[in-house]
Amino acid sequence: MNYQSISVGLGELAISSDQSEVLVAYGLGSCVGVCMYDPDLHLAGLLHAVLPSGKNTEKRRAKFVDSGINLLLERILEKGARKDRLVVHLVGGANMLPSNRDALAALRIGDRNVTAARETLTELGLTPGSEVVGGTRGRTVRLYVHNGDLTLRELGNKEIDIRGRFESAF
Amino acid sequence: MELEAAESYYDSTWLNGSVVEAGKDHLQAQFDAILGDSMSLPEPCIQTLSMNELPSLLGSEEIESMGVYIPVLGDVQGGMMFISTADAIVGLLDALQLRSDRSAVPMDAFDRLTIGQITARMGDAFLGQMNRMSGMVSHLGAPVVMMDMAGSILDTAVINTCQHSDHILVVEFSLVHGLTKQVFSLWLIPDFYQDAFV
Repeated sequence: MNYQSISVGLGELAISSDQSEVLVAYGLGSCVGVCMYDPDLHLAGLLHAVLPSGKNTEKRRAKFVDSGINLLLERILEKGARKDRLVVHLVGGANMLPSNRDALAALRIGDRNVTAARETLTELGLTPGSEVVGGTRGRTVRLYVHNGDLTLRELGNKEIDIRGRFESAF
Repeated sequence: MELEAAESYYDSTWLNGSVVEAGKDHLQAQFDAILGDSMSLPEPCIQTLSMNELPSLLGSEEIESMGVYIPVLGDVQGGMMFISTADAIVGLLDALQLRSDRSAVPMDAFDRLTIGQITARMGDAFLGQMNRMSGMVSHLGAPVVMMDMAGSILDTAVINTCQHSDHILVVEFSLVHGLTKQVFSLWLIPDFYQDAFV
Protein backbone atom coordinates (compact mmCIF):
# COMPACT_ATOMS: atom_id res chain seq x y z
CA MET A 1 0.00 0.00 0.00
CA ASN A 2 1.23 3.47 -0.81
CA TYR A 3 0.86 5.77 2.14
CA GLN A 4 0.69 9.53 2.07
CA SER A 5 3.09 10.97 4.62
CA ILE A 6 1.80 13.86 6.70
CA SER A 7 4.75 15.69 8.18
CA VAL A 8 4.24 16.94 11.71
CA GLY A 9 6.83 19.65 12.24
CA LEU A 10 8.25 21.31 15.32
CA GLY A 11 5.47 22.56 17.54
CA GLU A 12 2.71 20.98 15.50
CA LEU A 13 0.15 18.25 15.96
CA ALA A 14 -1.92 16.31 13.48
CA ILE A 15 -5.03 14.16 13.74
CA SER A 16 -6.11 11.81 10.98
CA SER A 17 -8.66 9.08 10.31
CA ASP A 18 -7.61 8.71 6.66
CA GLN A 19 -6.26 5.17 6.47
CA SER A 20 -4.05 6.02 3.53
CA GLU A 21 -2.08 8.44 5.69
CA VAL A 22 0.90 8.03 7.96
CA LEU A 23 1.75 10.75 10.45
CA VAL A 24 5.50 11.44 10.55
CA ALA A 25 7.72 13.42 12.89
CA TYR A 26 11.10 13.53 11.18
CA GLY A 27 14.32 13.52 13.13
CA LEU A 28 13.06 13.92 16.67
CA GLY A 29 16.05 14.96 18.74
CA SER A 30 15.39 16.46 22.14
CA CYS A 31 11.77 17.01 21.13
CA VAL A 32 9.19 14.42 22.09
CA GLY A 33 6.61 12.76 19.92
CA VAL A 34 3.39 11.71 21.63
CA CYS A 35 1.16 9.33 19.69
CA MET A 36 -2.47 8.53 20.49
CA TYR A 37 -4.50 5.95 18.63
CA ASP A 38 -8.08 4.74 18.88
CA PRO A 39 -8.08 1.31 17.23
CA ASP A 40 -11.86 1.10 16.91
CA LEU A 41 -12.07 4.30 14.88
CA HIS A 42 -8.66 4.02 13.20
CA LEU A 43 -8.09 7.53 14.50
CA ALA A 44 -4.51 8.65 15.02
CA GLY A 45 -2.92 11.72 16.56
CA LEU A 46 0.71 12.79 16.74
CA LEU A 47 2.21 15.68 18.68
CA HIS A 48 5.74 17.02 18.04
CA ALA A 49 6.48 19.11 21.13
CA VAL A 50 9.66 21.13 21.60
CA LEU A 51 9.84 22.32 25.21
CA PRO A 52 8.46 20.97 28.50
CA SER A 53 6.29 23.96 29.33
CA GLY A 54 5.98 27.66 28.71
CA LYS A 55 4.16 30.84 29.55
CA ASN A 56 1.36 32.31 27.48
CA THR A 57 0.92 29.03 25.67
CA GLU A 58 -2.65 29.63 24.51
CA LYS A 59 -1.74 30.46 20.90
CA ARG A 60 0.97 27.84 20.56
CA ARG A 61 -0.11 24.99 22.74
CA ALA A 62 1.40 22.30 20.52
CA LYS A 63 4.92 23.63 21.03
CA PHE A 64 4.98 22.68 24.70
CA VAL A 65 4.78 19.17 26.07
CA ASP A 66 2.25 19.81 28.82
CA SER A 67 -0.18 21.99 26.88
CA GLY A 68 0.42 20.01 23.69
CA ILE A 69 -0.57 16.67 25.21
CA ASN A 70 -3.73 18.24 26.59
CA LEU A 71 -4.48 19.72 23.19
CA LEU A 72 -3.84 16.42 21.43
CA LEU A 73 -6.21 14.64 23.80
CA GLU A 74 -8.88 17.31 23.37
CA ARG A 75 -8.66 17.13 19.59
CA ILE A 76 -8.75 13.35 19.35
CA LEU A 77 -11.70 13.13 21.77
CA GLU A 78 -13.53 15.77 19.72
CA LYS A 79 -13.18 13.43 16.75
CA GLY A 80 -14.97 10.70 18.64
CA ALA A 81 -12.13 8.76 20.26
CA ARG A 82 -12.72 7.24 23.68
CA LYS A 83 -10.12 7.81 26.33
CA ASP A 84 -10.34 4.24 27.62
CA ARG A 85 -9.50 2.92 24.16
CA LEU A 86 -6.55 5.16 23.48
CA VAL A 87 -3.17 3.55 22.88
CA VAL A 88 -0.40 6.00 23.76
CA HIS A 89 3.26 5.98 22.76
CA LEU A 90 6.08 8.27 23.83
CA VAL A 91 9.17 8.76 21.66
CA GLY A 92 12.18 11.10 21.56
CA GLY A 93 13.73 13.20 24.29
CA ALA A 94 17.31 12.51 23.27
CA ASN A 95 20.10 14.62 24.67
CA MET A 96 21.86 15.72 21.53
CA LEU A 97 24.64 17.52 23.38
CA PRO A 98 25.80 15.00 25.96
CA SER A 99 27.83 17.03 28.39
CA ASN A 100 27.96 17.95 32.03
CA ARG A 101 29.36 21.35 31.30
CA ASP A 102 27.28 24.15 32.78
CA ALA A 103 27.28 26.04 29.51
CA LEU A 104 25.38 23.22 27.87
CA ALA A 105 23.14 22.34 30.77
CA ALA A 106 20.35 24.54 29.46
CA LEU A 107 20.31 22.54 26.26
CA ARG A 108 19.83 19.19 28.01
CA ILE A 109 16.19 19.52 27.31
CA GLY A 110 15.50 15.93 26.31
CA ASP A 111 15.26 14.59 29.86
CA ARG A 112 12.98 17.43 30.89
CA ASN A 113 10.70 16.87 27.92
CA VAL A 114 10.31 13.19 28.76
CA THR A 115 9.61 13.95 32.41
CA ALA A 116 7.02 16.54 31.47
CA ALA A 117 5.36 14.10 29.08
CA ARG A 118 5.17 11.34 31.68
CA GLU A 119 3.79 13.70 34.32
CA THR A 120 1.17 15.14 31.98
CA LEU A 121 0.05 11.73 30.77
CA THR A 122 -0.22 10.52 34.35
CA GLU A 123 -2.31 13.56 35.30
CA LEU A 124 -4.62 12.71 32.40
CA GLY A 125 -4.87 9.07 33.44
CA LEU A 126 -2.99 7.82 30.40
CA THR A 127 -0.15 5.30 30.42
CA PRO A 128 2.18 4.90 27.45
CA GLY A 129 1.99 1.45 25.90
CA SER A 130 5.55 1.92 24.71
CA GLU A 131 8.38 4.35 25.22
CA VAL A 132 11.56 4.82 23.25
CA VAL A 133 13.18 7.80 24.87
CA GLY A 134 16.54 9.26 25.86
CA GLY A 135 19.86 8.38 24.34
CA THR A 136 21.86 10.72 22.13
CA ARG A 137 20.51 9.91 18.66
CA GLY A 138 17.68 11.42 16.71
CA ARG A 139 14.71 9.35 15.56
CA THR A 140 12.03 9.59 12.91
CA VAL A 141 8.66 8.29 14.12
CA ARG A 142 5.81 7.13 11.88
CA LEU A 143 2.27 6.41 13.05
CA TYR A 144 0.20 4.46 10.53
CA VAL A 145 -3.45 5.47 10.64
CA HIS A 146 -4.91 2.25 9.30
CA ASN A 147 -3.66 0.00 12.10
CA GLY A 148 -1.79 2.14 14.64
CA ASP A 149 1.59 0.65 13.84
CA LEU A 150 4.43 2.78 15.15
CA THR A 151 7.87 2.67 13.58
CA LEU A 152 11.17 4.34 14.35
CA ARG A 153 14.22 5.00 12.26
CA GLU A 154 17.61 6.29 13.30
CA LEU A 155 20.23 7.66 10.95
CA GLY A 156 21.73 4.82 8.92
CA ASN A 157 19.23 2.25 10.21
CA LYS A 158 16.09 0.70 8.80
CA GLU A 159 12.59 1.50 9.99
CA ILE A 160 11.64 -0.78 12.90
CA ASP A 161 8.22 -1.51 14.37
CA ILE A 162 8.16 -0.72 18.07
CA ARG A 163 4.46 -1.06 18.85
CA GLY A 164 3.97 -2.96 22.07
CA ARG A 165 7.60 -2.81 23.08
CA PHE A 166 8.81 -0.99 26.13
CA GLU A 167 12.30 0.26 25.78
CA SER A 168 14.10 3.09 27.49
CA ALA A 169 17.58 4.36 26.86
CA PHE A 170 17.77 6.00 30.27
CA MET B 1 -6.29 16.03 8.79
CA GLU B 2 -5.82 19.06 11.00
CA LEU B 3 -2.60 20.87 11.59
CA GLU B 4 -1.91 23.33 14.35
CA ALA B 5 1.19 25.47 14.02
CA ALA B 6 2.70 27.91 16.43
CA GLU B 7 3.20 31.50 15.30
CA SER B 8 5.38 34.27 16.58
CA TYR B 9 8.02 36.65 15.30
CA TYR B 10 11.68 37.32 15.76
CA ASP B 11 13.37 40.61 16.45
CA SER B 12 16.59 40.42 14.46
CA THR B 13 18.16 43.59 15.82
CA TRP B 14 20.69 41.40 17.60
CA LEU B 15 22.69 41.11 14.42
CA ASN B 16 23.07 43.44 11.50
CA GLY B 17 24.67 43.20 8.11
CA SER B 18 27.83 45.03 9.03
CA VAL B 19 28.72 42.43 11.65
CA VAL B 20 28.23 39.65 9.15
CA GLU B 21 30.10 41.46 6.40
CA ALA B 22 33.15 42.17 8.54
CA GLY B 23 33.04 38.70 10.02
CA LYS B 24 32.92 37.23 6.54
CA ASP B 25 36.02 39.17 5.48
CA HIS B 26 37.86 37.95 8.56
CA LEU B 27 36.77 34.39 7.86
CA GLN B 28 37.85 34.54 4.25
CA ALA B 29 41.31 35.72 5.31
CA GLN B 30 41.56 32.74 7.66
CA PHE B 31 40.52 30.28 4.98
CA ASP B 32 43.02 31.79 2.56
CA ALA B 33 45.74 31.39 5.16
CA ILE B 34 44.83 27.73 5.71
CA LEU B 35 44.73 26.95 2.02
CA GLY B 36 47.52 29.19 0.81
CA ASP B 37 45.22 30.08 -2.04
CA SER B 38 42.38 32.48 -2.56
CA MET B 39 38.85 31.40 -1.82
CA SER B 40 35.72 33.34 -2.49
CA LEU B 41 32.97 33.94 0.03
CA PRO B 42 30.09 35.65 -1.77
CA GLU B 43 27.74 37.94 0.12
CA PRO B 44 26.13 36.01 2.99
CA CYS B 45 22.37 35.79 3.15
CA ILE B 46 20.85 36.79 6.49
CA GLN B 47 17.44 35.29 7.00
CA THR B 48 14.92 34.97 9.75
CA LEU B 49 13.26 31.61 9.28
CA SER B 50 10.50 29.88 11.14
CA MET B 51 11.26 26.58 12.82
CA ASN B 52 9.43 24.66 10.15
CA GLU B 53 11.28 26.34 7.27
CA LEU B 54 14.68 25.32 8.61
CA PRO B 55 14.81 21.78 7.18
CA SER B 56 14.45 23.18 3.67
CA LEU B 57 17.92 24.73 4.04
CA LEU B 58 19.39 21.25 4.09
CA GLY B 59 16.98 19.43 1.81
CA SER B 60 15.04 17.32 4.27
CA GLU B 61 14.82 16.50 7.96
CA GLU B 62 16.30 13.04 7.50
CA ILE B 63 19.37 13.96 5.48
CA GLU B 64 22.69 13.12 7.16
CA SER B 65 24.05 16.36 8.52
CA MET B 66 26.69 17.73 10.79
CA GLY B 67 26.05 20.34 13.40
CA VAL B 68 28.70 22.03 15.50
CA TYR B 69 27.38 23.83 18.54
CA ILE B 70 29.61 26.42 20.17
CA PRO B 71 28.56 28.03 23.43
CA VAL B 72 28.99 31.80 23.66
CA LEU B 73 30.02 32.99 27.10
CA GLY B 74 30.64 36.39 28.68
CA ASP B 75 28.63 39.61 28.31
CA VAL B 76 26.52 37.99 25.64
CA GLN B 77 25.50 34.41 26.21
CA GLY B 78 23.93 31.87 23.96
CA GLY B 79 25.39 29.78 21.22
CA MET B 80 26.20 29.39 17.58
CA MET B 81 25.36 26.41 15.45
CA PHE B 82 27.22 25.68 12.27
CA ILE B 83 25.24 23.23 10.19
CA SER B 84 25.49 21.63 6.80
CA THR B 85 24.98 18.32 5.09
CA ALA B 86 27.62 15.64 5.54
CA ASP B 87 28.46 15.85 1.84
CA ALA B 88 29.07 19.59 2.01
CA ILE B 89 31.27 19.19 5.09
CA VAL B 90 33.37 16.63 3.26
CA GLY B 91 33.56 19.10 0.37
CA LEU B 92 34.75 21.85 2.68
CA LEU B 93 37.46 19.69 4.22
CA ASP B 94 38.56 18.57 0.78
CA ALA B 95 38.63 22.16 -0.48
CA LEU B 96 40.79 23.13 2.46
CA GLN B 97 42.90 20.01 1.91
CA LEU B 98 42.41 19.09 5.53
CA ARG B 99 41.06 15.56 5.36
CA SER B 100 43.38 13.06 6.92
CA ASP B 101 42.08 10.19 4.84
CA ARG B 102 40.01 11.08 1.82
CA SER B 103 38.78 7.51 1.54
CA ALA B 104 37.21 7.63 5.00
CA VAL B 105 33.45 7.56 4.64
CA PRO B 106 32.14 9.90 5.61
CA MET B 107 34.65 11.21 8.15
CA ASP B 108 36.86 9.96 10.90
CA ALA B 109 37.47 11.34 14.38
CA PHE B 110 40.31 13.57 13.17
CA ASP B 111 38.03 15.09 10.54
CA ARG B 112 35.43 15.82 13.18
CA LEU B 113 38.03 17.50 15.35
CA THR B 114 39.17 19.53 12.35
CA ILE B 115 35.67 20.70 11.48
CA GLY B 116 35.17 21.64 15.12
CA GLN B 117 38.23 23.85 14.99
CA ILE B 118 37.28 25.39 11.64
CA THR B 119 33.85 26.16 13.01
CA ALA B 120 35.38 27.77 16.07
CA ARG B 121 37.34 30.04 13.73
CA MET B 122 34.17 30.90 11.87
CA GLY B 123 32.34 31.69 15.06
CA ASP B 124 35.22 33.72 16.38
CA ALA B 125 35.30 35.79 13.21
CA PHE B 126 31.72 36.89 13.75
CA LEU B 127 31.84 37.15 17.52
CA GLY B 128 35.05 39.19 17.42
CA GLN B 129 33.42 41.71 15.13
CA MET B 130 30.36 41.87 17.34
CA ASN B 131 32.57 42.51 20.36
CA ARG B 132 34.34 45.34 18.52
CA MET B 133 31.08 46.96 17.45
CA SER B 134 29.22 46.57 20.71
CA GLY B 135 31.98 47.03 23.24
CA MET B 136 30.89 43.84 24.94
CA VAL B 137 33.28 41.02 25.74
CA SER B 138 32.23 37.51 24.87
CA HIS B 139 34.14 34.41 23.93
CA LEU B 140 33.47 30.98 22.56
CA GLY B 141 33.38 27.76 24.55
CA ALA B 142 34.55 24.41 23.24
CA PRO B 143 32.72 23.19 20.12
CA VAL B 144 30.53 20.09 20.27
CA VAL B 145 30.26 18.14 17.01
CA MET B 146 27.06 16.23 16.21
CA MET B 147 26.41 13.92 13.30
CA ASP B 148 22.79 12.96 12.88
CA MET B 149 19.61 13.61 10.95
CA ALA B 150 19.14 17.26 10.10
CA GLY B 151 15.89 17.36 12.04
CA SER B 152 17.56 16.21 15.23
CA ILE B 153 20.26 18.83 14.94
CA LEU B 154 17.60 21.45 14.26
CA ASP B 155 16.04 20.60 17.59
CA THR B 156 19.19 21.58 19.39
CA ALA B 157 19.38 24.88 17.58
CA VAL B 158 15.84 25.99 18.23
CA ILE B 159 15.15 24.92 21.78
CA ASN B 160 16.67 28.00 23.35
CA THR B 161 15.06 30.53 21.04
CA CYS B 162 11.68 28.95 20.72
CA GLN B 163 10.69 29.66 24.28
CA HIS B 164 10.33 33.22 23.06
CA SER B 165 9.95 32.93 19.33
CA ASP B 166 9.24 30.46 16.56
CA HIS B 167 11.95 31.95 14.38
CA ILE B 168 15.72 31.77 14.29
CA LEU B 169 18.35 33.97 12.71
CA VAL B 170 20.36 32.22 10.01
CA VAL B 171 23.45 33.43 8.18
CA GLU B 172 23.78 31.37 5.05
CA PHE B 173 27.03 31.66 3.20
CA SER B 174 28.78 29.82 0.42
CA LEU B 175 32.43 29.11 -0.13
CA VAL B 176 33.77 28.97 -3.65
CA HIS B 177 37.11 27.45 -4.53
CA GLY B 178 37.76 26.82 -8.19
CA LEU B 179 34.66 25.17 -9.59
CA THR B 180 33.51 23.92 -6.21
CA LYS B 181 30.82 25.69 -4.23
CA GLN B 182 29.66 24.59 -0.78
CA VAL B 183 26.82 26.16 1.14
CA PHE B 184 26.81 26.42 4.92
CA SER B 185 24.66 27.96 7.56
CA LEU B 186 25.66 29.61 10.78
CA TRP B 187 22.76 29.93 13.18
CA LEU B 188 22.81 32.41 15.98
CA ILE B 189 21.15 31.28 19.16
CA PRO B 190 20.90 34.05 21.73
CA ASP B 191 20.11 33.23 25.31
CA PHE B 192 17.08 35.44 25.81
CA TYR B 193 17.37 35.14 29.55
CA GLN B 194 20.43 37.37 29.43
CA ASP B 195 19.95 41.09 29.95
CA ALA B 196 21.77 41.85 26.70
CA PHE B 197 18.76 40.62 24.74
CA VAL B 198 15.99 42.12 26.84
